[in-house]
Formats: sequence, C-alpha cells, structure tokens
Amino acid sequence: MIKVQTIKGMNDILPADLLKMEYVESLLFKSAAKYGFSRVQTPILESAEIYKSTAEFPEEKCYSLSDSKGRKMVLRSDPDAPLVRLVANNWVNHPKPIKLSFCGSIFRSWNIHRREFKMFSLSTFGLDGFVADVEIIRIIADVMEEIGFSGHRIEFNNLNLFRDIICAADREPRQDEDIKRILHDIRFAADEEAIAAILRSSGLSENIIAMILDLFHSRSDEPRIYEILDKASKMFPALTPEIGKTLSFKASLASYGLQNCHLNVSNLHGTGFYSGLTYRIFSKNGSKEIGDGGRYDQMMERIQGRPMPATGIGLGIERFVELIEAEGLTISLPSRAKNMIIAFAGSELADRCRPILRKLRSAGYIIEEDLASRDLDKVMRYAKTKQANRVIMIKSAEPEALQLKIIDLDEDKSDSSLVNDPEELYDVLLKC
Amino acid sequence: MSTHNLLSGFQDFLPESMLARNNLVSVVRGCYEKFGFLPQDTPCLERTELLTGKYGDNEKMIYSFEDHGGRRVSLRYDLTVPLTRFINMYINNIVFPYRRYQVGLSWRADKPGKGRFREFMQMDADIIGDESVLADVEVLTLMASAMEALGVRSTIRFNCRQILDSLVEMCQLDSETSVSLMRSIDKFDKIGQAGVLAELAGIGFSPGIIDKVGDYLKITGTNAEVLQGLTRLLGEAGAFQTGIALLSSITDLLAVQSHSLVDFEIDPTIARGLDYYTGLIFETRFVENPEFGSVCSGGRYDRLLKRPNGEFLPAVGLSIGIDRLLAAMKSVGKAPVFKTTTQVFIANFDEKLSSEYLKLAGELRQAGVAVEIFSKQSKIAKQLDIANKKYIPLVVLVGPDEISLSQVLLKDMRAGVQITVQRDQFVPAVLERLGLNNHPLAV
Repeated sequence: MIKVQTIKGMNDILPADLLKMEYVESLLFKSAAKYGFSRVQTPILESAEIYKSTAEFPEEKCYSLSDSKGRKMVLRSDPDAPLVRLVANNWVNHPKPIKLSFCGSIFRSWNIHRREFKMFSLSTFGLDGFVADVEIIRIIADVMEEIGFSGHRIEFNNLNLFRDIICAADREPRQDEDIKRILHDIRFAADEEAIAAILRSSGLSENIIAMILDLFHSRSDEPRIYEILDKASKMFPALTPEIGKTLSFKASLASYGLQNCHLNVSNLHGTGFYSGLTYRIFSKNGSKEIGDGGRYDQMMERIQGRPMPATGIGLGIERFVELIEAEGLTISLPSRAKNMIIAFAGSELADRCRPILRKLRSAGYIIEEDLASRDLDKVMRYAKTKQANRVIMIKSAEPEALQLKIIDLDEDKSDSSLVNDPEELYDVLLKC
Repeated sequence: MSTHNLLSGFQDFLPESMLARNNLVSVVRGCYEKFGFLPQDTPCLERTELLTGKYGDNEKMIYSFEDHGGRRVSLRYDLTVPLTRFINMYINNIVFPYRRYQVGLSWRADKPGKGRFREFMQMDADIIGDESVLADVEVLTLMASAMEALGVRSTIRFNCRQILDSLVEMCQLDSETSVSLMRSIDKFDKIGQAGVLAELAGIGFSPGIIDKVGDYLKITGTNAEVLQGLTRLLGEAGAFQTGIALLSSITDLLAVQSHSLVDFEIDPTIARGLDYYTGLIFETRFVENPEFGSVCSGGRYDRLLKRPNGEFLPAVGLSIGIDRLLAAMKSVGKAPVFKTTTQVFIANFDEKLSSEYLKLAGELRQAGVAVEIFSKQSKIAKQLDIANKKYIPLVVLVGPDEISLSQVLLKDMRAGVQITVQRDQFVPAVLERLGLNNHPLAV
C-alpha cells in the first residue's frame, strides 16, 4: 500500500493557510513595487554549477539529480545565485540599478521541519553603496508596519571588519577564501574556546585573538564594540574606512526612518557568500528573525567573470506568517466579495435561476451553487467550512414565485422573502 | 570564468513576461474564486511510489532521485496525482463536495519544443465528491467564464467516454486495440480524418472498422444534429444510453446560459488520451487560431480518487497550462502586455538632496504610487534615458533651484511635456498625470 504521508519536511498547504501566505506575499510585492522593484521568476532546477559560487550551499547538501545526459542538476536552495545567473544572462549592460523581487519554493535538505518553503527576496544589482541595503530593509519594515507590528529591531554586522583585522594583523597577504573559511568555522564554533582554537590554528597572534574574542564577547553591546574598534583602528589604520562605513550605514538607516538598529558583531550568518554588510530583521521584541540579508558583491564575478555589486534580503513566507501570529497579530485578509452558497429545492428551479447566478458573478459576487441535493442543516455546515457570508435556500411558490430563506452567517440571523421572478431574485440577492 | 547557462527546457521570467503571466493567473484565479473554489498547495516533491504506475509510457519523463535519507523522491508530474494523496491525508478535514484550485509548477523531462517546457505552470480546478451532471456543467461554465474574462473568443468542445466506449463496442475491439483507436482519434485536430483513417489502416484495423470510424468522425453540425447522428450510428451499443443522456443533459443545462464569447459544441473527435477519464471530456480552443490546439482541457475522473476504505470519490476538473495559454493568447494578439509597474522615477541632481528625494518618494508611496529613486548623481540626460528604457511614465526633477522656489518639475515621458508644480501640490499633480483622478489626493 502506498504511504499517504508527504515526504519528511514537505508540507501540504490547506486553503486557510494558503490565503494568508498569498496575502502576505502580495503585501511584500506591492511594497517592493512602490520602490521600483520588478518581479521575476527562475526555474526550480538549476545546473549544479550555479551553487559552486557560494560555500553556503555545497552540492552534497542540495537536493541533486542527473538528467538523461548525466548532467548534474540541483533544486533551488537559495534565490541569490539563480538571480545572479538571470542578471548575467540578460542584463549585464542594462541601466543600473537592477531591482528584482522574487518569490518561489526553496529546498533545503538540512532543515529539520521545513525542507521546502516559500522564500520572498529582494535584490539590487549594480550599486556598491549601502543605500540599496537600506532601501530593501525599509521595504520589509514597511510591510511589518502595514501588518501591525509595533516596531522592528535590526541587527547588522560588517564582515569586512573581521577580514580587515585578520588581514592587517598578517605579515603575509592572506587569500580571501582562507578568511571566509575562518569566519565560517567561527560561526559554527561551540564556544569562545573553540573560536580561540580556530584563530590560533590560523596563525593569528594572541593580541589579535584577544581582540576578536573581545568583539564576540561584546555581542550587541554597541558602546563596547565601538571602543574596541576605535582601539583597533589606532593599531591598524587600514580598519578605519570599514568602521566609518559601518557607522554611516547606521546613520543611513536612521535617515530612512529605521530606528532600533544595532551593530552585532557576533552575527556571522551567511559567511559562505556574503562579502560585507549583513543584517537581520526582527520584530521589536522578537528573538526569531523575520528575514536576513547582506551584500554579495563577488558572486557575479565568480559566475560571469565580470564584477557587479549586489545585495539582497530574503524571508521565508511560512515563517513570517507564523511570526505574525506569534506576535498576536491577525492577518486581516482583504475583504473578498460577498460569498453566497445557493441551494435549490429541485433541478428545474435551479435551471430557471442559473442565469441569475452568472449575472451575480459578473457583478463580482462569489456564488457557489450547492450541487449536492441536501437539507438546510447540511448546506449550513458546508457553508461554514467555506466561510460563506450567506446561505440562500430557494423553493418554488405558487404560481411562478420563488420562496427564499436567507441565512446571514455573519450576523447569525435569518430572513424569508418571496420574489415573483428571477429578475427580482437578482435584486434581492444583490442587497442581501 | 565559468558559464552558467539556463538548463534546457527551463525558462527565467523577466519582469515583462512575469507581469503577463501574473495577470493571467490573477484573472483565472478570480474566476475560480467566483465559483466557490478555494486554493490549496502541495509540495513539489512527492514519494516516487505515489507517481509510478499512473502515467503509462510517460513515466520515464518523471524527474526522480534519492534524497539525503535514501528515499526515492520525484518532482510532481502534474497536479492531479498528488491530489490523490492529499485527499487521503485530509479526508477527515474536508467537507464534500470539495471545490479546490491549485496554481503550481510541474516538471516533465520531455523533449523541449516551441511552447513546451520541462517546467511549466498549471492552474487546476476540481470538484471532488460530486457525481452530478451539474458539477460537470459548473466546470464547463467555469471554463467559459475564464475565457470570457480573458476576452478571447473560444469554443469548448466536449464529448464523453461512454460515447467512445460505444464506438469501441460497435467495432468489437478488445481493450488493447481500443487504446490504439483512441490515440488515433485524439490526433484528429492535427492530422484530420484522412490521417486518422490512414493511421488505423497502418496499424492493421479492418476496412469495416475503418468505415465505421470514418462514419463516426463525419458526424458534425449543431449539437442537436450531432446527438441525432450519434444515435443513428451507435444507438444499439450498451453504453450508449448513458452517454447520450449525459450529453443531452449537459447541452440542456448549458442552453439556459448565454456566453457572448464562448460556444459549446459536442464534438465526437474529442478523445483525451489519459486513461483516467470516466465521463465528460472537453477541450478548449481559440476561434481565431484553432490550429494552436487546446489551451485548456479536463473531464470527469470518478475512479482515480479513493476514500481510505477503498470507495471511489467522483471528481470532475479542468486544467489550464498557463505558459501555453499565454503563448496562445500571443498568437491571437490578446496577450496582456505590461512593461513596468513603476510609475515615477525621481532623478538625482545632487546626492546632497537625497533626504528631499526620500521625502518626495515617501509621500508618493504613501499615496500608493510606485516610485524609483535614481540613487547616483549623474547627467540628467542619462537618467532620462534610463527612465525611458524602463518605460517609466513620469520623471520628477528636483534640483537646488526647484527647492529654493518650492517647486517640482514633472516630465511626462509619454507625451514629452514638462510641467512645473508647487511643492504642496506635488502628490495630487502626479496622481492626475498618472490618471489616478479618482484618488482622494488627486487635484
């Protein structure tokens, strides 16, 4: 017998949840469009080569398969690399910036609960300043405001601060990939001792190790972080530009009305492909992030051979919906047209009235004719599962008139009415 | 440098095609919802065992692989077979009849061709748990409503399995040869009557059978004439009475409705290849380009879905291939055309004025206008060229002079005219220029 369960980590989405997800998606797209973002789509299957440009999604972790000619393909595990491919294939010489919005299924075999989920992302190509980063954070914050969040918290980091400290301390130039590996290892280190061990094995001196540990220890204690960075810049003047950039980023966030933004140097998410500023958005007091992003300025060069700065942010739709509800907020779906379930006592009566149902649909109503001949109680039960607003039971009355029983499910009341012909029925249903 | 090409048979959707596709989805979805259908979604990946044995020879086109837990998994081939699992899983949560629709991608490792992709989007709508003729008519009416909403003159051609069974019975064919007969009839639109008969002769059908099939394929005319023709030819077959009663009922129920752009025709040549259809079958094509073929099809499948106790759940549904529909609409010049959703471009005279640009953009966005600020200071002519290439209709020009005079320059790229407005009249003026005159802030 065939198992009727979904595959582990893959979920069906039932109507009530899907309506919420689609609504949240529409808010995100609408907000992005107001900032000039255009929606695009990429295939779910990509050449396995595509993720080789990032250390974050190695092929062995991705869902992968071969086509009939033996070419390796992977299921999309992140939108950024496919979007870089899309831009490389179509818009290398297009006027910049290129602002793209995207929503699609993402597959991650390593996730425990959700191995397929919908991700919304915003990407800006062709701008190296952080104004693009600020803009995409602002868009997400706009949507949060619209949904009713009481505020947001933004945590950001600049991976180049660590890169510059490590590089400045080295006597010999160090490869960028080597620094990326160190940061990646630190990100998954169990504790400070493990971090120290990684830094020691990388040949860094004890005073540099102490400085980096001090930074990690400070977490989101901003005055302390700036104190350490100030000290570091005096020791290594090469650090000064990145510190200035980090401070300016914060000021720019404020100029876009984004308050409650904090530098948190212990946040090393996305070290596999981010190249500078990174950020995460939370609700004001939430501990689970709503979305995260950062700059991936080198990905285009790895994929296409020509550099093009890029930045992006992504958020999981299912997770966003969960976090909205965890905040105690209600996702108020846009008011749909009035939804009526119409039941007829007899098929001849239905034939007579059906043109009126069509006319009502043309007028924008959601009209479902009850196809199962059944009593009113059963129709009512069915109507409640469909969240209908009205149930109308229509019977014949002598000689040609129609007897209506109108049940208002919103107000939990009922009414009766007698109409002389289908045209009059139309007028009554329009008003009910 | 490495090259990263798009996989063969797959497509990216750039903004213009994305906007067109979204528009079609939105129009069709609106129709589905007006008929009381609700959305549902299923994962892209299913256990391979669910899909095997469902698609005959086409099974080799399923993308399958082993996941990290050693399970054989497959990308869904269509939206119907996953529905069998869905119904089983949620049988206790569903109130029947269940009207559902699904918009989703499917994958087939088919040979790519014009308008045929390995990844494609479908929009299915089904009524499950309802064996009534009325449900058949609702699905046909829904199809007609969708075509009307899209503004395309169409013909919905329908037939039923029992009529085809009657032909098989009259020709005294076994199940294997009857499949060959159905496959040949299914090609009628492409190869015509002579082609179908020649193919049957090539397969080895006897001249008597070929004559009978020839007579069957010749039945045309009004719906009443077709019903009469079928009765004359197949009236003695055992399955015929059920079939003719169904077609007559459907025709009668459709007759009370009027559709300005859609005709319903009984067409004996509609055979539909899929084995799982058990009653009504239908296809839709555009009047202006019938050669393009069917853009939407469906039918009744009463023996595919089951309750956990093994009892069959009757169902009827339709499926629209969105990419194919879009290609068909293009072929008759009816495809929606959109270039951009951005309405205003704010040019950047001086990066020092960024906060003023942000303020202008914020006011417009608050009023529901889509705005792009050009984030780098550069020559205005270059910026206007960019706005033009992006098809953005209105450009806002604000430099130090305008700020000192509390003015804003609006350049309408469509008309090539430039107007000066006072800063406090800026938002209403933009709304008026964009034709959003009913907006509360418009002048």
